Amino acid sequence: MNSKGALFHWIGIVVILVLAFAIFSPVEFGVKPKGTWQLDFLQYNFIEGKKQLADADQLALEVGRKTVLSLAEKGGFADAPSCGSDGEINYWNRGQDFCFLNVDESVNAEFNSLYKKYDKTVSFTVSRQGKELIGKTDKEILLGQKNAQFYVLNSGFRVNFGYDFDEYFKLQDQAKKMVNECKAASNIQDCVEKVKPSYWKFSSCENAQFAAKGQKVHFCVESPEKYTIFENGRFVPVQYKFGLDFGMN
Amino acid sequence: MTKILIKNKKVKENWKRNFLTFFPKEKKGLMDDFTDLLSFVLIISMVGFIAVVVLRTDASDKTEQTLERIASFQGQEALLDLVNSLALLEDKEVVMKDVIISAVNANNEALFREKMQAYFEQQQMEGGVGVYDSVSYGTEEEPTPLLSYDVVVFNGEVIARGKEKGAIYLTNVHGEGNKKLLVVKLFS
Repeated sequence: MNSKGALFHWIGIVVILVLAFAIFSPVEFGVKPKGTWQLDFLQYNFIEGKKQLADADQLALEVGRKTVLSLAEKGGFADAPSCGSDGEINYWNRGQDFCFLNVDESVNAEFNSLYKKYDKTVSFTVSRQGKELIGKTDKEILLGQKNAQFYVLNSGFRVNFGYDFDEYFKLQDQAKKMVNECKAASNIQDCVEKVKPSYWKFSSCENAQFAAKGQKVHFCVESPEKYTIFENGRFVPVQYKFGLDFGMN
Repeated sequence: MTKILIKNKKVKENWKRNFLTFFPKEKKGLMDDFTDLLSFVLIISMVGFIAVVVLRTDASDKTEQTLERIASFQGQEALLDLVNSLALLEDKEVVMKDVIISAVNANNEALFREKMQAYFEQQQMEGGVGVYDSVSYGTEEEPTPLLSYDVVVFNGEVIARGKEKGAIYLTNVHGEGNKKLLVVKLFS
């Protein structure tokens, strides 16, 4: 073969070698999918984060609802008040001294105490805004840890459960008025019957019956705004249970 | 550069000689080289053609993959919209997550279907939704849903369940056993 013609053979061999290298080498040739990083980010971080937040919000909503019902059962106190208690009934006053409700503190304590049943590792600073409950926490959810990249999600929440804790202040004002008007009454039952709003019931909301222990009377008060809380498939009316002391001391 | 070099007479002659010897004087050799050249051009053309076809197909496949992934996000967004949407129960507003969880706990398929139907009709959506307990969802290949709703049914039977558009886990605080964690899936 002519030595000049051999040049083309060599070029052919080189082309074959290059092709073989392209096929067998681990390096990827060809077109790369567009927006891989962006799509990975959306899938493993943004969408996944939204899913986790949807679940976290639902859990917070459920715990918030339990908080409302649990606090109402205890007259708004997360812990036993200094005014004393009789079994599960907490007293709002001792004589003329009222144990002022710190609703925000109670909500925060009760919510965290109930939330611990589902997740012991997290603690929230819970505040309220109208009918919304807002929870802030330092705990972060780590998502989509891929290579050195990761996405951190704050696991706080903001849920609306259609209930306003300000109702306690309205009830407390009514309680003060009743205690003031009936503290010196010879017949507490008659006096309270006259001054109390219709949604205030003695002892039980279902079967109202006056019962006094000395000067102390137990009440079950139906929500003035007729709030109900959705609990396990049904709407439960909010009923506040507490006691008032009509004694002079 | 060449121009500078060929200014020198000796170099100019050398270059001319070399250029002429590039084409051999013998006809046989000329034919061989011409065949080689032709083969080479043919190979290069074929390789080029194949490369272009492969790259174009590859590009088309990759674009399709990207579009599929984008479409899957829309499906997952649709699922999030569904579970976060508002629903009416006893004339009061709750979120769809409440409806799903309540229906599972009370094993109330009628309630689930009614609310899903209302939502699918309102959103003019097609496909279906299924709720599974997380244990069977994670272990079985084709788990039986606790509750399901499908738009495409014939004589009460689902004709064909479409592709999964998205799945979400929901904590069921009132649930017991396997039902403590649910999986909601949306189908196309």
